[in-house]
Amino acid sequence: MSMPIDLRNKFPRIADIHSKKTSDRDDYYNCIAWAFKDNQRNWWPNHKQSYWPVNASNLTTMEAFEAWFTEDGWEETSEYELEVGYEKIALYALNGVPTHAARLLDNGTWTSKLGRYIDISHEATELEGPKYGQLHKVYRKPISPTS
Amino acid sequence: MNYTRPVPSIIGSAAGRFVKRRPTSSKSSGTYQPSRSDFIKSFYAVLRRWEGETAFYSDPEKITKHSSYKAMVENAPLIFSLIIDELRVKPSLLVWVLDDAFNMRPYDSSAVGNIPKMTDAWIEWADEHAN
Repeated sequence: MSMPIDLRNKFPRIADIHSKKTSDRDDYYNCIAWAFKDNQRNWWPNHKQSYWPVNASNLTTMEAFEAWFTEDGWEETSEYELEVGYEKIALYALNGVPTHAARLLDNGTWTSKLGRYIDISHEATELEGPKYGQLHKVYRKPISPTS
Repeated sequence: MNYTRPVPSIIGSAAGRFVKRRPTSSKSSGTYQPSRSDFIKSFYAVLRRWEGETAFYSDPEKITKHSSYKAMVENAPLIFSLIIDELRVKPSLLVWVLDDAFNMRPYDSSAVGNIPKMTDAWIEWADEHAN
């Protein structure tokens, strides 16, 4: 895969995105799959090309994402930091349309698969910009003994 | 399986057949005749542009509405063997090009989203239907 250019234009809050890289690039999984700890499939509420755990209208809407989050036991929270007993996922949106998801790690940083590109470790708001829009909502879910 | 587009009967030789013999004035020394390597280079130029310009998207709609993606779908019978060769090197979203171009899926619905499984199925299908 060729190297995307103009990264500072896409992610103006990150000086050097490659310094945050934690994996090589590949097409095997995308951001929302990685948020749900799956590195073998592409997830999206679009059954034509992607895996999605529940029925979806094949439209990229906040409702489609939230339907799954609710089904899977996630609740919205205003707390972006680590909380004992909870795992967290952040959802980004541009003009109200979901664009990206990230997962909070045990060390307090967030991990993201950038589309078809690489995984990075980052702060929650560092990905805000023209590509992914704004950090829209953070969801939390009690950590189960088996997770 | 339903086909809306003819299944490529030129697997393995498509690129070699794509030789235009039309003279052009763009070269000052005689006629220009694109070669097989020109065709292959053009495929990879389109492919790399698509990969680069959709690198940060997860939304399939954004990835598949790119002009380079549409160009590959429209020319899929010609570039089928090149796509399969590329998939043999590394599973990728090129399987979506084949899905859309030939309106068929040589894999079970449970494999949707699993790019390695979708890739394996298309490679197997190509091998079974090779001339």
